[in-house]
Amino acid sequence: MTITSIHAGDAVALRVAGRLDAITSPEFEKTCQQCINSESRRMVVDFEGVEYISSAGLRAILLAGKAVHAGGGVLGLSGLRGTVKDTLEMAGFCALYPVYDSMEAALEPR
Amino acid sequence: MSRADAAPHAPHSDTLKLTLPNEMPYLPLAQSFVREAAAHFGFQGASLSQIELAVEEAVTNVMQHGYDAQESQCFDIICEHLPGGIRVIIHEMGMPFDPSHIPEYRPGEPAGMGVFLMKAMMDDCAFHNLGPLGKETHLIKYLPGPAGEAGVPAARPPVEPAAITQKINYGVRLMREEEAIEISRCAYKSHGYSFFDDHIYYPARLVELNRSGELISAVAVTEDNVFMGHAGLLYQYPEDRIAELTFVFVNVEYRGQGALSRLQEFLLATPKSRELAGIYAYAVANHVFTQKALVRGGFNDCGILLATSPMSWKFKGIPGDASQRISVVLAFKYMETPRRLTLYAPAHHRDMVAKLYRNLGVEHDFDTPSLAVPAAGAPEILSSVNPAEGCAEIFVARYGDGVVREVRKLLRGFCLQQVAAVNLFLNLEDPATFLLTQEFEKLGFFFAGILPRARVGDTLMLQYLNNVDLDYSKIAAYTEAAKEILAYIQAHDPVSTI
Repeated sequence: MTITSIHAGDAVALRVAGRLDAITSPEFEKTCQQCINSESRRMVVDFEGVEYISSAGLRAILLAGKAVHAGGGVLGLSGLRGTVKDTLEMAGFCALYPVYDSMEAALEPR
Repeated sequence: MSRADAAPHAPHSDTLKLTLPNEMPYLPLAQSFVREAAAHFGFQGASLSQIELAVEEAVTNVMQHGYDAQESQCFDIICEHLPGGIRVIIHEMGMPFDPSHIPEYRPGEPAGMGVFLMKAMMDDCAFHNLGPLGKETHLIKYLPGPAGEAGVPAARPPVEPAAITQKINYGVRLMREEEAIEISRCAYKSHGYSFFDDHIYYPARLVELNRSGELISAVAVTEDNVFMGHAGLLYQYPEDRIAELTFVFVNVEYRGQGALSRLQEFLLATPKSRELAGIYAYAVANHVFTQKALVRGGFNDCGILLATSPMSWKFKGIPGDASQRISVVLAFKYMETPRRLTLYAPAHHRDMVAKLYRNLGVEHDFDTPSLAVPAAGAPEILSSVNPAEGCAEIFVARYGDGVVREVRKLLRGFCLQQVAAVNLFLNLEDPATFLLTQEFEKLGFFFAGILPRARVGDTLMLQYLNNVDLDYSKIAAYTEAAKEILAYIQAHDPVSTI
């Protein structure tokens, strides 16, 4: 798994590629925490390059979402596709967080 | 003791197993294993990802919750090929777990998410508590139907050798030593590694037994010398004057050619270097195929030994009851006309014993001993046990002081070894058998039949079952004689008649 963080104004996007599973999720959680500490008001997780996600990855997103929300911010999801999209929808995440077609759309100034 | 059987063969089975340490770095290996197995069974595309996800959830449950931190253990992943699908079993020996306590998943909360995903991704998900044998998580998924993924191939059908339907020319002759390996393979094809006598899986032993004259092996071969099947005559004990027809197997593609009958005929006609007063065979009674073949070979029934083999004994591809230990019908054929004997069958079994001898085509005289006290001196008792079969034999070679006590001691030892069936052979030519049979019956032994010309003489067979749960209605007796013997035995079984 690789994570690239992109800062744009008050938003930060995490472009994730690879697998978000029980082995890689701790690293993803750590990166999320660092971004939340940077006081970004909005966080976007971009799934364009994610090929697989399990409950470990979903829990990491839940934790990030709660932390962002606690700071008065919003967590968004972008680039959902294939089985990753199916899994997020099945777990009800698409109703919990705003979903964008692309990372660029998610990062547009509000 | 051994059994004769001409069992056909078994359906193909795809079961794969991997044992892994309960450490997170092994998770990808577990997933790859199941993914490859599922692909092998016909899954592809999104279905593979769904199976992989469910497996991660199940395996991480084991790794994170099954054991104490730092506790190094292993667990098994088993992939079974189902008709049109796959069953993944995660078997582990971790801490007891009550699936009813799994919280219901609610979006936005992490609790219960793993099990929720397992159930969502698979067609069936179940947790089984096996008590001291640990726990299992079962995940089942079926291949998508026509509305699912395009181009998904059907699951690979079981591979079964097809029987050759047209009659072929073949010959029967004595085994050549280089053919011993074919006999071992044929046994494996018929019974896996469950056959009662493990000699059969060692070609070198088969060669040695044939060289020593303890076994006479006959083989059926095609005109091109392709191995078709085997039958043997085995002398169980050095002093035996009778041999057992056993190690009878015919490869499935050659069944229906009459090879079993021709092998039997050949063995009966082959000159023997040792005395052969008679041939006996044990035909399993969870189906009647072998019993029918023995009738065609001129054998007649003379007893039934109950529960002598474990229910796990495999009969590949043959229908038959597999819900209880396997019983056998004993059949016998004289190879020479026996001299007329004076026998001392106990009074209460005399009519049945006489009837069994008549069924074998002979008449003997029955007498009542004049002395009420058995012979003095030390008794001579021979015994053997087959732990794999859970069966033991006791032969009273000579009566003497304390013979019942000695048999009781042996019986107790076998029971402590958890031997399920103990068979007792009493010499009918010895007057003491008339006097002491009831004493043995007080120990729990009951009637089983007769075996002529056995190692200690013509014998009355009694049997003892060590806490065996037996349903007589599931025992398949083919001949009228066998049915009558079974009814007689049931009437004398102290447990059945309670």
